[in-house]
Amino acid sequence: MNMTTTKKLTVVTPASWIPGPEQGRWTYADYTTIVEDGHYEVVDGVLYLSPAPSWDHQSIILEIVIHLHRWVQIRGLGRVCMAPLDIELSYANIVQPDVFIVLNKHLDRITSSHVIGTPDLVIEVASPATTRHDFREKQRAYACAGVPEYWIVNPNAHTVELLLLEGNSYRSPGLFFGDAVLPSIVIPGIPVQAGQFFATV
Amino acid sequence: MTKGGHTMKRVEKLSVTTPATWISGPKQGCWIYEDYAAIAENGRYEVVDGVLYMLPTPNINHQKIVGEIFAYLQSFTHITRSGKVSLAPLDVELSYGNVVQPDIFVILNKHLDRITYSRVIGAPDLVVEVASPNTARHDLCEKEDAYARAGVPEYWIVNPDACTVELLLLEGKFYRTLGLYSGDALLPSVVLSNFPVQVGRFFVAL
Repeated sequence: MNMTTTKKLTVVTPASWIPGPEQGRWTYADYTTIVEDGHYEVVDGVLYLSPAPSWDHQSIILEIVIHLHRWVQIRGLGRVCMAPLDIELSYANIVQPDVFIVLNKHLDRITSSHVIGTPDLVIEVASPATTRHDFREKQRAYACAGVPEYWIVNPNAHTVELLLLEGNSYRSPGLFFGDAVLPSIVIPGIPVQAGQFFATV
Repeated sequence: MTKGGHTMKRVEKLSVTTPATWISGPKQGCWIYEDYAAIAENGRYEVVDGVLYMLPTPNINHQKIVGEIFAYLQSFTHITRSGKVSLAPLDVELSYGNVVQPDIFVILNKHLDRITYSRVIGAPDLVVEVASPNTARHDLCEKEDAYARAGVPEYWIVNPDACTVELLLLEGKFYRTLGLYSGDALLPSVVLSNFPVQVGRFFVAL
């Protein structure tokens, strides 16, 4: 979709105008009191506002969920969930990954209001407006929380970068696209090709 | 796909910027410019925080965009007599233990003494990285941190697939984003004020 008249787009940004604790001190309890509309997250106690997602962004999420859900259900591996669902990674980190998986052994982390603890796999569709946040603050938050696997999907280039946690940080086995099958550790053998996530865009 | 009668295996995986632990030299975390300059192996390398990284080979769209942006910056700095523009592969030693090759960078007149025969020593005034999918993570994590620490006042991150530019300005120790620009937008650059080129022009050759 090319809108050549577009001038300036907002990106994920610290939401310092929302009443509440000072930046750096937000917790889940404060976060749940926000009455303003919007997609908020707390990383390291800082409240961020994300812009509304695009049509393509949502189409890609839908394809990913369909493929993952099918495989995870056939194999009886766990639960596939999608945004907007809150995950309290830790005291000062509340995020809404685009897609995430909680394996059976960790289903006790799912409560009626939100997930408390780390998912086993998170997937972010890194649109231009969220790319920097997804690569910086959220990658750090996922690594610190011990999320074992993180997929970063580039909706414009139609690529998936797979990150595996090694110690405190992620190692990238590479960038996958087209017919490539993703060498996931958390859901090994998933028979989906990277290009299938972009079938509708 | 065939070329010259040979079947070419379809590439489905690209390598990304990655720590180059196989290159002989000091242990990771301890590399400095002199070690880097002594590397005999082919390839593009950078040192960030003493860690040696190998960069993947750029693709054709990356190079086209770098060419366009360089041409506009070159004309602008020439006409306004404001400074010098250079492009990769040229070494910039930001600080001890940080040696990078920005895709494009600008050094204003008042800082021309930072240019030496072999490399730039110190911070450029503006760096531009065309963040292809296989370098984006490095450009946004390690390099952004390195540019911020070195005091590079302005950093443009170009998304070659979405045809956007994100403009970052240094505030204290971190960058603040001014937003994402595309199409007819003009970049509100502080280092090159009144830079008159619409962002969409960077991508016309694609």
